Amino acid sequence: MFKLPEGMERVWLMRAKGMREVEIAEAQGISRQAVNKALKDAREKLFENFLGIAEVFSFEVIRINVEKGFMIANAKIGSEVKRAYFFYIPKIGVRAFFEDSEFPDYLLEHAIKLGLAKNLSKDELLQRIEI
Amino acid sequence: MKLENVRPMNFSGIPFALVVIAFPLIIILPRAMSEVWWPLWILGWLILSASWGTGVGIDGSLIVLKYVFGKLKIRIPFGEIEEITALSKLLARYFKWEIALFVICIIYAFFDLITMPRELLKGYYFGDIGLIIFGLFYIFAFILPFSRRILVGILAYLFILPILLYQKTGNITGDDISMFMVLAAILGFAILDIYGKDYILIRTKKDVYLLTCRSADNVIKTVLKVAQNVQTA
Repeated sequence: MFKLPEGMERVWLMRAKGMREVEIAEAQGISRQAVNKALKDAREKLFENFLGIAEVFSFEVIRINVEKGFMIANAKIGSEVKRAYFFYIPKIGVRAFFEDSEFPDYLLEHAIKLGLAKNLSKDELLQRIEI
Repeated sequence: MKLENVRPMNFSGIPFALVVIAFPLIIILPRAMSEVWWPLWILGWLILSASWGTGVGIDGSLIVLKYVFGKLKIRIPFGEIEEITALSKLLARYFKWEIALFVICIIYAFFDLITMPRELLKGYYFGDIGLIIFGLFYIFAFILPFSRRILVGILAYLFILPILLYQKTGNITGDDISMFMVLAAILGFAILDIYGKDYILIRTKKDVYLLTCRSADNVIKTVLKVAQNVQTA
């Protein structure tokens, strides 16, 4: 299962929560260049992973946001097209949800931490990440 | 590697600055300096043409956007990209300055139309009316997704044309109707052009770029695949 390396994930998460690179560097006791490199690598790995999923399942990519770690895609199931949402959740990895599935609390709490939503509400989260 | 049928739009950075320079040269200055209007007008069109994107390529782990007849290359490092999105409509929230430019054009044209004397040739009025019509159209295009209802709405709003002209001249002739038809045809092409394409938005920490293409999904997957192959090689 895909997961970012621990240190990289920590830096990525801090950035996803809105911290500036210089603040992350201070908090982690590393150089700003190291933060920049970790973020660049994290973005590339997330892109790679999301693209891999879209390729394997022939999903149509609508949006990949590696800053906050999510992908929106259209999944063709028989004659029906369903919206699919993929989230990278630290320590867990990538989780997928269809538009009509329940969104668990841990996902909604993660979305609140990243500023993707303000309440534990699936509708609000989808409204904010949809284009 | 060149990406076929993909063009960068002039909505950000230097290309947009060229658009901002071109607009007064094409629209405002030729009227203000009526004796030497044509060199300014030609220069304006030249600058506007230079702002149009000519192609998109991938060079190593860089996405290269080409402008100014291929002479200006804007390089986006793959690792700097925070988001790639396929758009079904142009998004106002990402391109506020473009909307501001169109709003300025509409206000200018409207003000010019109101203050213009009544006895002039109708071509003068058509210039301003055309600007208002196309300015409004592009603002709609930034806000509204494509649908048949929107298409009908846009065509219906063409009725502003004769109303504006009648307000100014007090009559509508057969020639005017021919002119309306020409403007309607140009607007029809603009609708096909704007709504017939897919759009891809690439956002980095520093800027937002917009590409047009035939299939956003194919282009997104190609860009990501090529960039990743380069990095893992």
